[in-house]
Amino acid sequence: MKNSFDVVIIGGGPAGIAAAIESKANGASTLIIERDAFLGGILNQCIHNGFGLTRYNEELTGPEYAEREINQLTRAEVTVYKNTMVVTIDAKEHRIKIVSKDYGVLWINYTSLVLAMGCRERARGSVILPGKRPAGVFTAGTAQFYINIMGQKIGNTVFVLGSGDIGLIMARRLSLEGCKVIGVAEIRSFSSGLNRNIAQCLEDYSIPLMLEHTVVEVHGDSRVTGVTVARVNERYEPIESTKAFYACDTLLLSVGLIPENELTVQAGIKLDAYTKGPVVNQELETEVDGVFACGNVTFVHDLVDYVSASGKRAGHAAALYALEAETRQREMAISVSLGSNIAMLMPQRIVKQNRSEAFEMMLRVSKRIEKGKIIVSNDREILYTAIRSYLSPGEAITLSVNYPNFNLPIKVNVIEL
Amino acid sequence: MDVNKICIVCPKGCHLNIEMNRDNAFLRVTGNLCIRGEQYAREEIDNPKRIITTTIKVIEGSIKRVPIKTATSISKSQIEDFITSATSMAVNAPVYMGDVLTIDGIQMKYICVIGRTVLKVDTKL
Repeated sequence: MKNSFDVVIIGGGPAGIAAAIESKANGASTLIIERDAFLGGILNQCIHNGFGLTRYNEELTGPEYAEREINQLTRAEVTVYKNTMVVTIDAKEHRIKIVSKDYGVLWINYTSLVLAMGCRERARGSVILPGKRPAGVFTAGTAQFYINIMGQKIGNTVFVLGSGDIGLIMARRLSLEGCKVIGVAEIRSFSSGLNRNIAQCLEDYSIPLMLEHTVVEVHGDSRVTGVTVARVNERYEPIESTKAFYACDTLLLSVGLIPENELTVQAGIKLDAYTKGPVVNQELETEVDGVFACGNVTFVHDLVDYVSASGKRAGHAAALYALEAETRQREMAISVSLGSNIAMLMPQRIVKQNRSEAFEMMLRVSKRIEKGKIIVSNDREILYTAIRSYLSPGEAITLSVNYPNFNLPIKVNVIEL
Repeated sequence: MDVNKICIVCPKGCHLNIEMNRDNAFLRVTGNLCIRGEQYAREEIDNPKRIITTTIKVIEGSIKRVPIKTATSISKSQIEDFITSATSMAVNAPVYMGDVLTIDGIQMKYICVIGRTVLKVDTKL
């Protein structure tokens, strides 16, 4: 078997698949490594519809979106290793070590590497959740796997902590499958989920959304018997007098996602403290030569359509790097930093490019802003400015920023109007 | 009378303000960014509908469940009937994405679309 490729992609979800198709289309020999038995990643268990409105201009379910991508990949004749784990990245030698039942343990050489490992859910350990440790506490994604892939019911009466999109979607799914969902508690004053999901997942099923509330105790010995919920003050501290007991046998956690970067860290690739993904430039290359990253491993995107677009961009850059590697000269990078009201942004670096066209920037604001002015600038020029309404941390903003004329640090600010 | 709704047609989630006449019939809507928002608002007042997705059992498939969706949106009042009827449904592998399937409910027949190709167990994709 072949053990050397121009471009090797870690992860066969939507980011990795889009990267592979684009890489192959540019003439690079391409390999995708996927640890599961199926390509498509988490889309396979997201059976609800709402995917693909941007990419395909129609409303698809997760599995449908995945299968369309996989079919394109199959036609592109990209090499795929399934049931295969990457255990080591040796960025210096441009090689990775893989393990699988089919191929054993071996090293694969690459010219470009694309990180497309996606993200994972924050679990119980990531939030302060006092009380006992009975069975019946699930992350929303685990519950989704049990119900949609395994066809198993996870409980009868459910309380949901956190109002991320997966939590909202699972509240609806559980209601449809005959469970009673008694409430969704969100510690902040707003939900991080999309407005449409609050409407079609909670309001349609009369599930109360309790803002500024959190679970302060989990009850039960072998199985959850209930949760104590309390209102919180502006410092997110529970208010004693507002404690109330809710009887339930299941607690679902929907408390956020974090990029999955164990391999990235182990490879010595620098992570950004805000996105929790690798520091990348506008072509999605990391600080390590020849290593690119795309999709949710860089920044937790709102929609899979954007993840595919990110994969395509990284696949393109990775293929060009692989095919021109010897002649390429790395330019000094300009840093992009967070100004007021910015929670995270990407890219964190801008490199000189031949065509000085606009580049794409993604950011999240740190609080809700009714009306704000977004400014991307350096000390000598304004690269982007616009006034936008209803800015929310739950909805990432994408900007098309002009390429700078001066080699000066860039800062991004959102000014409240 | 006015009602406020969030448009669910796309991820933008427009804030709709829907005006109704004395008979609670749709009059006009504001706050929508596109024409689909108006259609949604009208339907939401007169006969709210949803596309419903669920899974059904696959016999001898490489996976146990296959996702399905209703081919068109169904009335909210039919959702329970649809889900209950789909629960007892099973298909034999192989099934292919886009295959059409009819589920007999008590209220009506539901036309559904298979959302994932499931080959027979032990068939290599």
